[in-house]
Amino acid sequence: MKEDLSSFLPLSSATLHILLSLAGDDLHGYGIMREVSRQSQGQYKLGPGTLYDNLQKLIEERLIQELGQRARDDDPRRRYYRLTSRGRDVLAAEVARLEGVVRECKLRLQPAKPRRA
Amino acid sequence: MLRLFYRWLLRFHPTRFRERFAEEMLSIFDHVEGRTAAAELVADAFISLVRQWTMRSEYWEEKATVSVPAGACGLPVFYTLESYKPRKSALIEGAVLTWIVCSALFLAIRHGKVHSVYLPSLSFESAASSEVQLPTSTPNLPPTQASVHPSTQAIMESRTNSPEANRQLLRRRRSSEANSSAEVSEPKKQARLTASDKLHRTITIPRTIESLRQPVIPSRISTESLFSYVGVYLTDAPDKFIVLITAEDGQLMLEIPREQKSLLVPVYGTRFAFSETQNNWIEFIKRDDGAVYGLRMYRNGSELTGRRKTN
Repeated sequence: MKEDLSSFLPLSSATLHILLSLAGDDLHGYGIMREVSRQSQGQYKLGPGTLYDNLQKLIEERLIQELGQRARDDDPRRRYYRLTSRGRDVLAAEVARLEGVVRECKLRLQPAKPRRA
Repeated sequence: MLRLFYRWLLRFHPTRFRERFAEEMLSIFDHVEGRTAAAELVADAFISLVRQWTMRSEYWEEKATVSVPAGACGLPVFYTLESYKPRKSALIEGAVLTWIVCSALFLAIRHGKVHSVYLPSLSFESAASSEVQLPTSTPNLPPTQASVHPSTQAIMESRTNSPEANRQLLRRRRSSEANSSAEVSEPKKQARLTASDKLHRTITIPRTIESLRQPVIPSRISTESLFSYVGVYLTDAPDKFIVLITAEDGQLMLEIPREQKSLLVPVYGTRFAFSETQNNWIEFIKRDDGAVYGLRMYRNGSELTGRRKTN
């Protein structure tokens, strides 16, 4: 039975970008920040305060999970985060919602057909 | 410097958040290049600090945990509702902060300006006129010049001089009182003087029963004056009872046969109020040379006079 994820929607910009950045690979905090900046072509910049505030919330909601440190990383202070299957479902639900919004927008923004007299 | 400040901001985050993310946030700060970017992170940390304390209480508030160790008969021995213990550094910082605040407060109290409280007090020594003396602050003047009422000065001087000088001082006192009351008489509503008023001002109020409506403010009376009232007075009441005035422990007492002894509280001039009820009062009558020869007593709605028999 599929879980009802509608309570998570709509996602905030920060949450959406964080989940999206983790959809491809496990990342540490700084990696998430850079990935968000890349995805938005530098238009959306996420500060560490906002990032870890959201990470804290997403971990509590079990949308992402903390993996801990990696031995091969050059900075031992970094911890990695992974998108959980629940988080992936929420992201998919949000994308579906956004698709509906985009579709509606396209429909509304179409140039009006000239009326026959 | 910015790193130090950033670290300091991180230290003030809620414990749970700090323990979990502070090192990572500092790691990001170390990886960021450029002073502008570092300044942006400091601003971000400040916003985060405010957000964590104001909007994320559900994460930093310690939930009340109940510890129920079982006793011998299976009943709980005690409950622990708070598992949070402050850090040692926090306690030290708190102690230092408290010390600084208290020091500043005490310093302010010590070096603060003295503000006079303008509560009108009734002077009892001026027999010629009923005057309300208002205390004013005159910090820049020496005591001999600062706000000494002429009548008060005359009394002070009279304590040290000869009888001849006393008579002269008494004349001076009367003339000065007459001058002062003529010069400075003002309506009663002007009794509220401003804080900058450095003059010792007097306000003449009619000697009516109105003064008795106000609460009696006991004032000090000299021993010399006190003993001048002591004596036995024969009243003109129908039963010609005797009033005995005594001085005990620097206070004037009134004794009437078969009645309880009453303490007399100086009101003004030669007028005294009964301590137990302010509507009853007694006033000593003096001759021109200042000697007390009688009294007037207003008691329980009736007024009577008394003549001094002995000292």
